[in-house]
Amino acid sequence: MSLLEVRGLTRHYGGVRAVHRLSFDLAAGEVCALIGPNGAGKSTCFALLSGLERPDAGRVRFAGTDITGLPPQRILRLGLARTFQIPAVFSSLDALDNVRAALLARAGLDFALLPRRLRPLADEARALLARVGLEELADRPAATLAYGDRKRLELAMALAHRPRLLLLDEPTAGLALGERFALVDELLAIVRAHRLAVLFTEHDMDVVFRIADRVMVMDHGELIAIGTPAEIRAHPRVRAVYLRGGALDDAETSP
Amino acid sequence: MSSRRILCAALFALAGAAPAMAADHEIRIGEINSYSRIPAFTEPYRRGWRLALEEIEAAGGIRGRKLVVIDRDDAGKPANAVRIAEELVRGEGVVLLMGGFFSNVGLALSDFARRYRVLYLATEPLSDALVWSKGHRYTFRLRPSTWMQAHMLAAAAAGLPARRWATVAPNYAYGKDAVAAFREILQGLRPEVTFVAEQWPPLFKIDAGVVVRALAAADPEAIYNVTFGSDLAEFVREGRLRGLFEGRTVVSLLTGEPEYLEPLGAEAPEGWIVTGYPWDAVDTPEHRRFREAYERRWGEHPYMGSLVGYTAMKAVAALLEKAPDLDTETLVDTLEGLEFDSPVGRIRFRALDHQSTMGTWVGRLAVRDGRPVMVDWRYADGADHLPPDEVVRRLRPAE
Amino acid sequence: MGFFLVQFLTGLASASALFLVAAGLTLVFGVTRIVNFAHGSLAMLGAYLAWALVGVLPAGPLGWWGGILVAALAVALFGLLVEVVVLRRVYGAPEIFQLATTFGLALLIEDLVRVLFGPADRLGPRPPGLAGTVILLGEPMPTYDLFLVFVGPAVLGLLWALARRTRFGVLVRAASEDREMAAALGVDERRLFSAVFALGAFLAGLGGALQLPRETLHLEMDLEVIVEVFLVTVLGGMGSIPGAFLAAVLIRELEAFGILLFPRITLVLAFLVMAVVLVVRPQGLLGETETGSGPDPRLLRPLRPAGSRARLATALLVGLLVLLPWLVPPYGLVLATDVMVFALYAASLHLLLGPAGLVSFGHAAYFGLGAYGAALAVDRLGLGTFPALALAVAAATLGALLFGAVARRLAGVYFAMLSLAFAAILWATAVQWDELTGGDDGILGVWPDPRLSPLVVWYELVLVLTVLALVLLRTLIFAPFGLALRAVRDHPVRAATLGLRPGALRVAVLAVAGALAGLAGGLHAFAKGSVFPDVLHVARSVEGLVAVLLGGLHGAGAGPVIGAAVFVLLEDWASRLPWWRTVVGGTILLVTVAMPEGITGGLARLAGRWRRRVREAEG
Ligand SMILES: Nc1ncnc2c1ncn2[C@@H]1O[C@H](COP(=O)(O)OP(=O)(O)OP(=O)(O)O)[C@@H](O)[C@H]1O
Ligand SMILES: [Mg+2]
Repeated sequence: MSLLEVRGLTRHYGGVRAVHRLSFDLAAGEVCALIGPNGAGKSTCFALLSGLERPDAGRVRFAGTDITGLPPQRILRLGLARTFQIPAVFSSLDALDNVRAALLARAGLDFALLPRRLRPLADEARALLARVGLEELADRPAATLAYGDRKRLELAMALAHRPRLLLLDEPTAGLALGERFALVDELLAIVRAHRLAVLFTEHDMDVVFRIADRVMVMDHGELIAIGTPAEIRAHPRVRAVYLRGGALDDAETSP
Repeated sequence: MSSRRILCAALFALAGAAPAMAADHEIRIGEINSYSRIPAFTEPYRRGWRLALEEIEAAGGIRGRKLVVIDRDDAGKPANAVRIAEELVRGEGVVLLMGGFFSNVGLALSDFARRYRVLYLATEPLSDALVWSKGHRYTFRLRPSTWMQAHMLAAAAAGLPARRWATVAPNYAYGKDAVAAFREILQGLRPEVTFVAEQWPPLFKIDAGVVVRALAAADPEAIYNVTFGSDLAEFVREGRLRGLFEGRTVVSLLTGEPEYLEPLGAEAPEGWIVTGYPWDAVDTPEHRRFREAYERRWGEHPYMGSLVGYTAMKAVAALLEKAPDLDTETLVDTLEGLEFDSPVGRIRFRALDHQSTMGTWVGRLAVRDGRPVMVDWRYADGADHLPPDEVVRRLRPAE
Repeated sequence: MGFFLVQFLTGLASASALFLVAAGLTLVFGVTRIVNFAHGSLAMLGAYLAWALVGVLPAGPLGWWGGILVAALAVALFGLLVEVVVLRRVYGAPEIFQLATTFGLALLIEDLVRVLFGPADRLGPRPPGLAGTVILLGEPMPTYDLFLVFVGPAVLGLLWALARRTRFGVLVRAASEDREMAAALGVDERRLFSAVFALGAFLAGLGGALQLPRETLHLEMDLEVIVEVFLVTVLGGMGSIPGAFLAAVLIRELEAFGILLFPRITLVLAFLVMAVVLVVRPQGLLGETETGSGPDPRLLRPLRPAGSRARLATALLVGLLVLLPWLVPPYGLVLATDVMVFALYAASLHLLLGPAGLVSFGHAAYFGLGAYGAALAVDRLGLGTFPALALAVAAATLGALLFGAVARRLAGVYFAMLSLAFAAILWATAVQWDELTGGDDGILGVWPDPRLSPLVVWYELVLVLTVLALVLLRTLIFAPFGLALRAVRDHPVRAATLGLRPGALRVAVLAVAGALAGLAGGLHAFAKGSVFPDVLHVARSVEGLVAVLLGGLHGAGAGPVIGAAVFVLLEDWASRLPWWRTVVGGTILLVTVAMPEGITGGLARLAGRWRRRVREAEG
């Protein structure tokens, strides 16, 4: 049985078909890329899966439960966590408190009224920061972190809930080349260690082909291809969408 | 949060609380009024008591001590008045409080006076409750009350053929008292009278066109009006415009007072039966003396406010002259039954209910040379328009 | 029949003037995103100017209409001046700073009008030619009102043509719909904002001036007008001019016919309608949905628990306060009590504005519920001081929960405006439901139990309760609950995807803030011995905001206490001056424009600079 089952998922904004009749499956532990040109509907798809938007039609099952239209908090509790395209961190909190804030709901402490109840969360928070390589920056306000560190921080926050599926919206966008691969490798290590399933969007084809077990391609809200990286590279419609295939060829030839 | 910051705040707090106590050679009294809210009345009022104060000063003060008045503006808000009273009594060491314009301010100050045992002389507030249902040892009132003025008007209204009446009054203590008193007295005099409509616009927020329409819809034969100030001006304008007053007699409280009458100009509604102040026509020697002094000092004719302010300060001077000491209890004992001379003649503060016997004038409105005036007026002495003593005794709570 | 027709037309006539003023506000908001609290003051200025001009210009139609027009133009010019000198500096600032700045302006303008035209009420002459009435279906109808009936739609049409047919209109629409796009189109934002503000001021001035023959001018017009205009713009949808027209007509007709059915709840009626509409359509009748503005950049610093020195200093201060009765005269104690009650109120508001990021613009609602709760407990139920205080807290908490249930999904300006409406409903209820509340006469005789009533005892009680409440507040802010609140404030969507429940957290924090404000209100009632509707008035809400901003928005409790102390003492001192509004208004402007971090922030910056200099001198 697959971990995630998406059937006919649809969301329109006025006349824009942001997501249109999307259907796919995702197995436990699978790393799958969702690619497509700007405005293809990738982020909207994530918003639908994570409960931030309600679909106009279609169903989503996650780990055997129908999660269509559930609020984000319920979906998270079932084990589906996410990050955002623009790193969404709590700017006024330091890095440690960002992770502690992420831990609150799981620990059932979000309405706790005594400051000392926060203390037990510190160790786990530090461990999570360490896992993304931020332990040195625990005291730094999130607003003052570098862009890449904010992406890492977000990842730590998403991991706080021990998810089974991670949705990562462009995890490496805006990072310098070297940093990009460092992050991807760390990510891969974490994913393998916890047997996490990952669905991520990405514009950098090098990253996509490096880590994805499978690739899905969207255009104008619709899924136009699913397959292994090799299949996708050869897919004529995908090549057409990606402007004479330039991006794909570049990826082939790069180291 | 640093310690320096906290210390700064603490010092600031202390600095604000510097004491100011009266010296021996002066007597301080506190005067609280709605100077910024209803200047039409309170500015002449202030000029009135200033004139009296200057006369007292010129006559050598109060038994050689200088009378100092600390006056404050309550902006028409009872909460402000209470705060200021607290400051004047605790911070400035005044021996008594006077003033108040709005009835709710008066009642709030009266409550304060009872609580802290300070003498409060309500000068203008007309609410009956002030000396009756909420009366107590420490509050006195100078002006004829709502009931007294309603009594004067109801007596005139009873002579009219009208039987279907409507009322319009601001929705606060004074308005409610004024309507209740008028209804009770008029129906007592003429049981066949019915009241077919009542309008209660919020004070100074009248939507006059709508109120006039609503009154007209009930088609009363006569109207009793209690609105004043800006509400009155709008009510008169819309009422005239929409023909509300045609074929209807209006009986109206206070409208003959120049502060409310003059702004109406030639639009003043002729024929209304009103209480007021025909300042240019009252010709007793004591009033002439007051009027001339006032005009000389301020270059304007006196208003009702001027008369009230002047008389109030004279009452205070008479009290302080006579009282053996400045203790509140002594002052109260002295003021009960005190008689003194005023521009309207000799006035007495009744020991029974602390109401003074000051009266007012009742007459009709007319427009002469484009100027509104009162005609066919008479002075109604307050003493003649009060309920019998045993009724008053029943109205006042036991001490 | 004729009666209803005339009543309907009278309602339309009143709606016209209201619409003009509201159109100005909503236009300015649409483009600059500023909610201009001083907009009613501009209308008042226009009305007084018109009164003065009509008085000096030669009698006759030309003089009258000329006076009205020149007055409106003068207000436009004045608005331009205000925009260039003051508002330009706060465009980027968070809503509360803008509200406070424009509130300060309102105070200044009120004093300006007082100086220019005197404090007396003014009723202007009627326009020559339109002074009479016509008979419609047997009922007299003033011709001027009939004229006004057409003014509203005419102005609406002109504004529509301006928006659709002129380049200015295109730019305005571009700027209100998509700022970045407008910037990309090469719109000179500064000039556009100035022009729009001047146009808005012109409409306000015109709306005010046209009321000249119908309404007495007085110095409280500004607040009266602005509350109604807020109502209309929010009901119609912020930024929507047709919405403002629709809402103005709705409100005025409601009043015109409501007065026939319920003569004593006219004030409540309008706000009730607004609340209902906002619950169903949070963006108003014709408004667009508004995404909440991002987190306040001034808050983007982590909170740190107090160090040992600060704790020691606080303990010393509390000790000093305990001894205060033996150090200062009685009036000083009265002031100190006022400061503490107000500090508690401000601190409870700060919890919403700061850690929770909720722009509560009607915090007086809870203060007033507490005050009336305590007063009614004493007056009606004959309860003692402590049960009455408990009831005060309960009443305010209940009110906060009710409001929270309704407003939990709203953000930014809409939350602010709904909270304003909530407080306004309660205020109107207190004024008009006089059987319960005593109306404008208030409730008197609310004194503490005899054993608590000596000034010193009462002071110490207030001190203990205030300190406890402040400690509780501070604890909350650093507790997991406070952390969750700050997370939700910074990024509600992120918080939701991490399992936090923004709605529930908001309701909870409203309840806490409401409870503490209610306690402050109850203490206030006992301290003054009386309660009046002004405890619920919008001015009281704004005073709380000002105290919080004075103290500094950032931080976890010290700011509002210091802000409250400064505000109460400043007001106590300034209220003796005839021009106290200028002092208070000027202070507000100074803080919001020149010292946006407030007193605590400013002092911290100075201290930092000083420390650095010392270090440099040593090194
Ligand atoms: N809230 C919204 N309202 C209206 N249209 C929207 C909304 N969100 C997304 N869209 C539209 O839906 C389409 C899909 O947008 P989406 O952000 O999902 O694309 P994307 O694939 O994530 O693009 P990118 O690679 O640039 O991130 C776009 O045309 C976008 O303009
Ligand atoms: Mg995207």
